[in-house]
Parts: sequence; C-alpha cells; structure tokens
Amino acid sequence: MRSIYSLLKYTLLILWGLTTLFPIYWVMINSFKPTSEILLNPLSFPKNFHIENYLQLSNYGNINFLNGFKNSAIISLSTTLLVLFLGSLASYALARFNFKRANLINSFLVGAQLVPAFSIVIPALIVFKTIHLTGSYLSLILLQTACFLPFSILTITSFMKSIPVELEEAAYIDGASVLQTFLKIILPTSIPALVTAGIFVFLWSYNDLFMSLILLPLREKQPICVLLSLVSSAYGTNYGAMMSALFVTIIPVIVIYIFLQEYIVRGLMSGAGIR
Amino acid sequence: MQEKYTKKYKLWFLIPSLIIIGIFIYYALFATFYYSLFNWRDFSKYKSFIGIENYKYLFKDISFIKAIKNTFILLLFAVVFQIGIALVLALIVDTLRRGYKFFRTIYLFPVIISGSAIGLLFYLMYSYDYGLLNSLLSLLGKEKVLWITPKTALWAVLVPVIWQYVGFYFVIILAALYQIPQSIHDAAKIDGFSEFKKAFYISIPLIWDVLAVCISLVIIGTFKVFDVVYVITGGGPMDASQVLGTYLYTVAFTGQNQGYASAIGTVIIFLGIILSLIAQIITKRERIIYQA
Amino acid sequence: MSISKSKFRTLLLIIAVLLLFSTFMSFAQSTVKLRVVTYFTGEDPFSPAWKDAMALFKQKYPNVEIIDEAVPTANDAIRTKVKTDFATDNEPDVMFFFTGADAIPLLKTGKIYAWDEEIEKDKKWSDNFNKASLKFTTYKGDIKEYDGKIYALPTIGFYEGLFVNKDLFEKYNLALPTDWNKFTKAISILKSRNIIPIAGSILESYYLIETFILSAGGPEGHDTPFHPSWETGLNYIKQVYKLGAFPKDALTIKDDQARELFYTKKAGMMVNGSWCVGGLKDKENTVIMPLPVVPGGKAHPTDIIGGFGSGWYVSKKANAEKKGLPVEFVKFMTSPEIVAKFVSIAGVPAVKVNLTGLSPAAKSGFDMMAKARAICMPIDAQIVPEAFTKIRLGLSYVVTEERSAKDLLKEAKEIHERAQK
Repeated sequence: MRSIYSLLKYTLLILWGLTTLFPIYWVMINSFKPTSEILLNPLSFPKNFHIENYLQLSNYGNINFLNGFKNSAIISLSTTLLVLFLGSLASYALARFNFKRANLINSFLVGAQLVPAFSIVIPALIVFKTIHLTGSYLSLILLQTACFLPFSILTITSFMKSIPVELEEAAYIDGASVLQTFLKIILPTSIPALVTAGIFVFLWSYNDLFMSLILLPLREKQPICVLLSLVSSAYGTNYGAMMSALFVTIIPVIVIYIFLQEYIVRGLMSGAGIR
Repeated sequence: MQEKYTKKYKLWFLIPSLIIIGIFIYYALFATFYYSLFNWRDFSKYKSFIGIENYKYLFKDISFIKAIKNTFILLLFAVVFQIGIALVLALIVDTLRRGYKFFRTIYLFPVIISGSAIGLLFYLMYSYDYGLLNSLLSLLGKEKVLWITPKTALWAVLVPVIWQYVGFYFVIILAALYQIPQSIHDAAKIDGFSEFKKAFYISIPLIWDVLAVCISLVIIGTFKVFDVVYVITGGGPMDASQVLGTYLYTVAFTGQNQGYASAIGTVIIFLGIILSLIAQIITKRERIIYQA
Repeated sequence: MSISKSKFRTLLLIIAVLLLFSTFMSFAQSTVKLRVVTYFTGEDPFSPAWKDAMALFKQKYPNVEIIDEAVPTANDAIRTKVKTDFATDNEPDVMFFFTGADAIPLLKTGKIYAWDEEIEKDKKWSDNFNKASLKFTTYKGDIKEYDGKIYALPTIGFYEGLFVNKDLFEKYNLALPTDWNKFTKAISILKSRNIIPIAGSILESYYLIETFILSAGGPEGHDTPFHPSWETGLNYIKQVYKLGAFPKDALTIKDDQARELFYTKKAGMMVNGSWCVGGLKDKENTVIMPLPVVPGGKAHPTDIIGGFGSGWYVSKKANAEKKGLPVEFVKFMTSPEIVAKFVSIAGVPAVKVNLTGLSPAAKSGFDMMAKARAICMPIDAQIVPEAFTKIRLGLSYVVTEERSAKDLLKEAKEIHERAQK
C-alpha cells in the first residue's frame, strides 16, 4: 500500500519534471543541427554533431560572448546583493508593522510592480543624465534594484511574518539592540527566503533585455541576453545559431544554480535548525 | 518605551528601499498618469495636452477591450493552475525524504529560460509547416492541424504562460513549507493525521501568508505578461490572444503612440492595485503565532 | 551564530567593491570617440560590409575610436533607441536610420545636420550621388528649418516586388505572372499541385499592403493618404486570400517563416523586398518582377514600391564639437568604394557604383528598378506608425470578412488625423 502510494507520488512528480526538462533537451539537440535539419526534423536526435552553430557565434560582428558573460555577472550579482541587503532590512520592518500601515506599504509595492517598463525608462534616463551616470553599470544596477525590490520585499516579508516574535523578545531581554537582533536572529532564520528571492532576482536581472538595451548602449558593456537578441534580428531564420546561443546562455545559470543548491542546504541547516 | 524606540528604528530600515523605489518607479508612475493626458508620440520632447481624450478612445477600442477580457481569463486560470499545481507539487515533495533537491532544480528550468525563448519554443511547436506538433502528427499518419486560429489562440498561449511559472511558485511554497517546525509534523503524526489531512488542515493554513502573497504576485505577473505571448502570436490573429501586456507594447513601440500607451498603463496599474487589494482583503487571516 | 556577522560583513564588502568598481568603469576616459548607431548587427545581411567599412576607416583615421552602438531592427528596437536618445539629449554623433515618417520627430528637435552646404562645397564627392535618390531624403513640410533641405544621405535603396520561383512555373507549364490573369491562373494551378501559391504573412503584411495599393491606385492613389484606391487594394488582397493563395497559417505566421517557404520551393511566389536576395538559396531560378496590375488598377505595369528608406544622419552638435569628423565619416561611408561593398550584398545604390558579378535574381531586381516608370516610397513612410499598424493588424479581419476594408481605413484615417494635431 505504502509503496504504491509512493510510486504514485514519484510518477506525478516525474511527469511534471519531464515537461520542464524537455525544452532544455530540445534546445540542446537542436543546437547541434544545421537550420535546415531543424526545420525538417525538429524532434529527432542530430544526425551528426554539427558544431558550426557554436563556431558561428564568434563570427558575429562585434559580439563577444565571453565579455557578455562578464557583464551579466557584474550586473546581476550586484543587483541581487543590493536587493537582498536593502530588501531584508525593509522586510523586517514591514513584517512587524500593524495591519493598516503594512497594507499601505503593500499597495505601494504592488503599484510599483505594475508600472510598465517603457514608462520607467525615460524618467530613469533623465535622472542618470543629471547625476552623470549614463551608460554605466551602476545606472542599470540601480534601476534593476528599484524594479526587483518590491517583489523581494513582498516575498521576504511574508516569510518573516512567520518568525515567532518571542525569539526577538528574548533577544531584547538579553540586551541586544535592534540591529544585533536583526543580524543574529532574523537574518539567519530567513536564509531560505533570501535565497529564494535572490535566485529570482538574479534570473530576472540576467534575462532582462529591454532595460539593458536602453541603459547600456555600448556593446562592450552589454550583458549576455542582449547579445543573444542580436543573433535573432529581423532577417534571421538562423534557428541553428539561435539554439546554440540560447544554450550557451542557459548553461552557466544551470551550473550556478546546481552549485547553489549545496549552499541552500547548508543555509537551511544552520538556520533555525529545521529538519 | 522599548516598543516605541524599536518601532522608530525599524522605520529607518525601510527608508532606503522606499527611496530607491520612489525615485525610479514612483516618479515613473506619476509620469505615466501625466503622459496619458497628452498626445505624445515617437518619444519626442514635444507633447500637446489633450486631457482625457486618450481615455475616451480606450472605451471604443475593440483591441483594448479584447485585451482586458483575455487578461482576466488568463488571470483566472493562472491563479487556479499556477498556484494550484505548484501547491500540489510542493505538498508532495514536502513529504518525500529524498529527491526534493532534484525536483526543485528541474522545476525551475522554464523560469531560467527567458520568456522570449519559451515563446520561440512554442512558436516552433505550433507552427503549421515546420512545427513540432504537426511533425508528430505526420509521423503518426494523421492530418496536420492549424493550432493557432482565432478560436484557439488564447488557449495556445495560455499553456506556456501558465506552465513557465509553476516552478516559481513551487519553490516559494516549498520554502514556506520548510519553515513549519518539525514538532508540528511530529504532533500530527502522533495524532494520526493522514498525509492528505495534514496537508489540508495544517500545512496550508500555516503557509497562508505566503499563499496570499503568491496570489498577489500572480495578479501582477499576469498583467505584465508579454514576451511569451508576443513571440508566439503577436496578440493575433485578430486580437484573439491580445493581452494587456502585448497591447501596451504594440501601441507604445510599433504604433509609437506613447501618450495612449500611458493611458493603457494607467489602467493596468489601477486595475492591478484594486485586484490586489481585493485579494488581500479576501485572504486576510489572523497571524498564526507559534508556541515554542 | 558568529557565522552571520562575518558573512554579513563580507557581503557588505562585496557590495561596496562591486559598486565602486562599476562607478570606476564608467569614468574611464579614451581618445576621440565617434558614436555611431546603425542596424548592421547580428543577422543583418549588411553586417559583414559594415565590419569591413569600419576597419578601412580605422586604417585611414587611426586616432578615432568608433563606438559601434548597432541595434537590430527586430521589434522596433532601433526606433526606440534612437528616439529615446534624442529625447534625452543623448543623440548619437552619426547614425544610419530610417527616413520618411521616422525622421519627422527627429527633425522637430532641430538637432539634425543639413547637407546642402556640404554638397555644394565638395562637388567631387557629391557628384557621385544619383540626384534622383537625394529627393528621397529631402524634407518638404511644416518644419521651417528643414523645408527643402537634405537631412540625410541615402546609400542603399530597396525595392519591393513579386518574387517568382521560375523553375516551379516551368515545371507546371505556367507563364510568368506578368498580368492579373496569368497571376490568378498560376495561383489556382499551383494550389491544385499542393504548392503554396504565395508565401506571405497576413500578420506581417507590410509589403502586401503597399504593392496591392500601388497596383490599384497607381502612384497618385498610393501616395495620397487614404485615397479610395486603398480600399480597392485591400479588397484585392482579400480576393487573393479567398482563392487560397496564402499558407494555411497566414494569419499568424511570421514573415521570416513565410520566406523560408519560398526559399525551400514549397511556395511559388512571394511579395517581398530586395533584402531577401541575400537569403535566396537559389539565385539562378528566381525572378523578380512588379506585382501585376489589378483589374481596373491605375498603375503602370512597371511601377514599383521602392526607394531609399534609410540614410546617414549627423548630429549638428557632434559635428561642431568634433570639428567635422562626423561629416568626414559619412563622406567616407558614401564614397563609391564603400557603397559597392554594401550593394554587392543587396540593395540598390544611390551612388554611382560599378555593378559586376550579379546573380540572375539580383539582376532581375535591378532591371525592374531601372525600368520602373515610378518608384514610390512605401505607405508606412507616409502615415503615422500607429495608423499603419492599425491597417496591418486589421488586415486579418478584412481577409476573413469580419470587417470591411472601408471601416478599417476610416479608423486608421482618424488615428492619422488625430496625430496631426
């Protein structure tokens, strides 16, 4: 009985897993096929391992993929750290507010997320022009931080709300200041929330095309996703190149994420001692 | 005394974030309201005031009305299925001793891949002459199907939009489930709760705060949906799959009418906040306080 | 517990370092820089020519650093970039951008350099231009500063027409579609043989709209916004659609997939432009000709859509600040040797160039352009983008008879007029 139940559970989970794995598999096998073969046999395993698609990527005019990765790393890591830093502070405050005030700030945050991207860009450009930061990494980092903070605050707050107030009160009684309580108790306990939010902020920053394109016009500063979009411009049906570019973009993220898993587990362990 | 002091101190924690959001986003938000009252095109410096003309036009605009209708349908399905499937998967994975890391990794894959890439994937799947689905059908000896028609377009894009972010909510819900202390699980076991009952009567109520936020996020996310839909159908055919996000883009960038697009943007913001507030009120619960 | 404190400190340190690093990067200075915006990047067929041209310029002017801010045309990315740059006083020094309706907002800012003086001064260079081509980049209108002036320099022009897979026509004993009857006959025969008669997208129907309207109204009808012949033109597209000429998924297929159908000989014809010549797999058996005149149409059989849709612009401010370097750059790019590089890939030159070694397909395109009685700039250069988008996206409603062409055009006209205020 037990094992049938278990089997059922695993089957369901694996079925869903297949759907999520399929696109990656599909992109990968197609990146080794020439475009004509992709169109004829989109599903099949490649006849030969055609690596031209990958070699072609280095031929695209002034597009340097390695540089793109470096830029993506600088931008996305900085944004993520900044968001988590400011966001965790803000969430702590918010999690302990009374209902009315919290609701107000809540609406403020929800509203912030609904502003369309094109509305954000022009005022931002004007601000950056005034403080002489146009075209710099910092301009994009600040703008992305502003865009991803609301989500992060909303999410981390909901986690922090379920941290028992008694823990903080115990710390105060022991004479800890607010800052100390935050650093030594709240932050460690919130690690799962921080990691979760952090992963998403990183991903969104990594994949953000529009803001990067407008705020960083210089090719040498552009992150990888912008470079990827250049590969599929108006005149392109070069699906082979698109697939290989896509795959090249995805791989680092998957690798980082798999390594991060270890950190997540350790974080959870050293947190509130759960499981 | 202690209470007041700590409350004020905590306010300072909030201020840096509010400042950054205030500068870049609230300035833009008010700018959106402002621009919607003007005839502003081509991102030009010169705009002429036209009051509520843009809004008057909105009411007559069939594409806009279709977009709202479609967005609401998408929203309904998203709340039910994105959160629903994520919840079920998370609850199941939570009961497992082994393998949760694996599932957590692979379920996030669609989220890792950008919306435009997912869009491209499905575009190539649905394509009539070269598509994946039709190739499969041909292999099985069946007739090729026209997957994207005015009747089916919305459903065709609904699938990838919903599917892509299930992993996102899955990870959030799973993390929330992880915060439930082991002691509660043990107590439930002792009291003889089956896994079903435990999930329904204990786990879900305990993560209600997080679920409420998820609903909020789904609302926000659906209103902004763009890449996936745009790449697959561009909003067509004949606005069958037009949603607020894609229509906004078309008006602002293809039609180059940013004044009108700002009016659409204002409506999006307005509707989004209202729906979110409603959702918040509906899901309000007493804060669960643990006894250590 | 002590983990968190030191971790926190390291986090702070990392953030500080990253922020400092990025600020530092933005302050690093360099030599004489020239900011150039074009769409020659990624998959754009002209990118290799552009690369060569820049390298040659570097040889001649080694102390100049060209900052290449090329942006693709896909999804109107370049339109947005250029327009936002101008709006925030951050306009590029030099750019190769669309002319016509897209130029107007830029001219309104008064930041564009006018070429008339330079053309008078440097006859050796300016005599290379085909005078007719310069007409396409001369502004006539309400902006006094530029009225009658040349605001951009054309180099590569384009044409739109009917591409025909000659070999398929020969296979099925069809005469080339030089008139409407032969055209409709070809459609029905090809269809019966399971060949898609016309590879076209109703979603991305720019070229269909323009060529059919020209065919119906002739240059006069085509060039007059919302002339009655526009309705006729759209109705003929509908007629052809109902004959089953287009692919089954014409309402949602993208233009590049449609082109693929033509390239792989799954379709007999397509209505497209000179930029496709570069992508043709079979350059021997492809013929390019004007779209046949629709019954009662006012066009001459040789009239075509074409012109010079893009040109080189220079920023007044940059030219003054950089002592004429931007202008020098553009003169270099519009010299016959450089233009030849671009033209050998695709397009029609505005400058007198030696054309040798052309494929039969490219040659037929050139001939079509040379023989044309009238060459009209496409409609999307004549009415505001929003109005044209309305027509293009509304075409699906028209061909499926959900709305009448008359109503659609009326709405588009209202949009166009509203924008004039």
